[in-house]
Amino acid sequence: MAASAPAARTIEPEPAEWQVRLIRLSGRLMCGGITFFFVSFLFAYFYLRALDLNHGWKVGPVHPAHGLGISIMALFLASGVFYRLAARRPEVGEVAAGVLAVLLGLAAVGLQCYEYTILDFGPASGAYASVFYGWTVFYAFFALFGLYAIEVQTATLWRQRTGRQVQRPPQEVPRGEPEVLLAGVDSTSFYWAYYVAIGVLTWIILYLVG
Amino acid sequence: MSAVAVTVPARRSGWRQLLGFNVFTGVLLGLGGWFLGHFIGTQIHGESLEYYSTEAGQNDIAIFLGYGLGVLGFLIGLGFLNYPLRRMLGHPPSLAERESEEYGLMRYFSLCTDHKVVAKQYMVGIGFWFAVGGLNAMMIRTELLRPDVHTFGADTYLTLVGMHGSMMMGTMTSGILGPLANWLVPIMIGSRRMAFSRIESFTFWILMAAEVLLVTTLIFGGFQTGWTGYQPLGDQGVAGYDAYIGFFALVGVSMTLLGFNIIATVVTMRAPGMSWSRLPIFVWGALSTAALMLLAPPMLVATLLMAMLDRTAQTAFFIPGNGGSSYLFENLFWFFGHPEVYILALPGFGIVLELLPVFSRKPLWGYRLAVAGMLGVGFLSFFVWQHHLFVSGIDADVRPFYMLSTELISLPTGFIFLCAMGTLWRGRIRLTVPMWFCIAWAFNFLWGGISGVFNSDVPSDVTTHGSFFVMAHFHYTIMGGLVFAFFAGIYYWAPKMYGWKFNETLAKIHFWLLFVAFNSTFGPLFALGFMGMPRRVVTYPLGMKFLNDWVSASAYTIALAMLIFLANVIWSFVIKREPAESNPWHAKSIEFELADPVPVYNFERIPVFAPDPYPYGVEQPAPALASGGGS
Repeated sequence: MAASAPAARTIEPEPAEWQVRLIRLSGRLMCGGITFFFVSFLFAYFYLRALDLNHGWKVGPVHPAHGLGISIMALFLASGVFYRLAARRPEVGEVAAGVLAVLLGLAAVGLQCYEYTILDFGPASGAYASVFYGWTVFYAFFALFGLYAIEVQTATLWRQRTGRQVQRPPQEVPRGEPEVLLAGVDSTSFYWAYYVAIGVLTWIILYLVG
Repeated sequence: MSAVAVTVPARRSGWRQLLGFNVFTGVLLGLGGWFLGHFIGTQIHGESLEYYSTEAGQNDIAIFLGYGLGVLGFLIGLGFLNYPLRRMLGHPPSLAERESEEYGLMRYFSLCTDHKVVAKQYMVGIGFWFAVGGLNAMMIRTELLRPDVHTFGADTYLTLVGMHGSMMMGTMTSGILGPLANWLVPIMIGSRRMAFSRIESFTFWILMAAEVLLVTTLIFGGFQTGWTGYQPLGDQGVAGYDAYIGFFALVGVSMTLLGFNIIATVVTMRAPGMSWSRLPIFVWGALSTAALMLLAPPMLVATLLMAMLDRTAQTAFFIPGNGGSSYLFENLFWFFGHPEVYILALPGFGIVLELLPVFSRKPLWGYRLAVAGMLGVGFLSFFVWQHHLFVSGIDADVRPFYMLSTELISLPTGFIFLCAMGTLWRGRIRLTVPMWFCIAWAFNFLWGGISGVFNSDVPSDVTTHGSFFVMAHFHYTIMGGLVFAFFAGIYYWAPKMYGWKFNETLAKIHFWLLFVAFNSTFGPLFALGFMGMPRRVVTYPLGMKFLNDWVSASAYTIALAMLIFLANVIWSFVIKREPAESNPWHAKSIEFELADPVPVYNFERIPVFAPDPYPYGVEQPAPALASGGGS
């Protein structure tokens, strides 16, 4: 049941542009998937608000912390804008912007966790509270994956630019070429900017509309 | 970039391979993760969360944490964390892991990035869980041999129904894309690999973890909701429902990533000359399915996470007493659930349309129409979900729209059927085993489609909803469509994939027994539905006993047919091992032009594709390798 033949041949490398196009596309595709994930919470918000079953939309005092909400949103927004700008304008410096974006994003996630400790309502305080907790918890959780992607791109670029790149045996696909690395930054920054835009929508719905 | 020399490394010793990242380490770490998670969950389960533990004698937090850390441990044991950690340290991307001969058979028990190995892993994994799901069906039919409760009891019966449905729906979503598209898509488009080869492997192993989670429901009391997991029954359920949530959430992750990977591969890695209008129709089937897989399952994952929060953090998404609504669950679930039906059906369309030109020696009739049909089905499938709620008390004014949109979907499906018939018309038909399965697909799917119109139409749906009629309908479309197409694909491509020939006599017995038994099982269910036999009820009136006995006997015959298939696989691939011809069907597609066995890198040179993907019966060169590709 051997899957593959013994190989002792010379093979033609894969076209270089494949990897670049692939990386650029992947960020866009992830935006599609994550949109449908959060659309569920958006739908839940409007559906439950419209029904207001047993007057259970808000049970008791339900006041999200507006100051913290604005701070969280502003930190995410700054993180997304910095990183996207750096990807579009190389003179800004992708490595520095990457580090800044990760720090700002982590600070936003930290503030989100802190907010749960000071809120005057819990997850059981009606339908709004359920949507609030569910939406923000998973937004903060999935933000960590975006921040991980930025960290990976930043660390790879830093190693390449400081000459610390690990030399490995050649492969038939391009891996460390500058255009591949920059495509990674572009794709990640696009995804992150999109994710931050979802965060802004989250803030508008949960804090402004309420 | 210059050409790269590929050499054969020495094979590692068996013992050295066992001590490393593989499925055995994964299972050990998975068990460790489960106990750690359960321990943590027990520690944090304070008095504020006594509601569930005292009411139902369970600790959902501990169970979910156990599942989460268990799956994480399993993945760490398989080596899925090594590469992300290396990348965090700034190491450049690498696309190959455990691909070479050096790892021998251990490639099949670990993270391997060769798409052909992953496809074979899928084949065995899916085959196993498909058999377990089938075994559940046999137990269901055994319980229904008598009109009263006699073998398993009502609760266990409902758990069996739920496990059968969940396992079949969850497993077979990847039933064609996992084993066949993973093997074929890169080759058919002239690529050496899937776009994200580690993600490809991840989708398989996470699916296997999901299946194990579902089986643990038996330890925790099962779930009585059926595969749809409806609320508030789910929320009221015992801890076995946690297994359902964990299972489907992981299946959703696997599906999303599988779809993501296929789209990325097809869009960006097509060889020169492989334009959109030359894409093999099977690849179009995989691509349209992948688009649904990327978009619909994230909603399922979100819905199940809401259900998890309801059971652990006391949110009230689906609990009416506290502002939630069980209809919210129904809406969200079916927004995923109906595209899911086409996720199951579309790859089967692709297989049948790919095979018909080969066995009628004619070009595919209406290629563009077939593509439009597949894309149309995929697009419209997002606009029909409320037909599942026709009798759930939705606003009567909403019904006509969803009735119309559902009936509209029969148009693009009709395109595909038309293309299949047009290809057969005046063809030089060869009645091989794969061709028999294709013809059976057409017969079964026709009945499934016609009966679907009754379910999409509000007046008739009000009568038949929740009855065995609905069950007959979806078994005709899914089993009659997907499973028959799956077997067509297996008999057609497996000799190329594995290098061994099937025993044809056993294959023919398998087909005829399956075809007759399938229709004998599910045909009478239409009648039972009209007679008023409801789904998910363990008892029935005495007057329905004869038909139920008939159906049970036929269902056992389906099991016999499956056993004959298994015997054929063991006889042909393990015992006799008669080498298959390189191109046994005289096909003109590129996979049959490759050497046996297909090398890790598929092609020495990237192929250049010539004009027509289906040049049967016309004077034209083969569709690929016009510029000297191949191995």
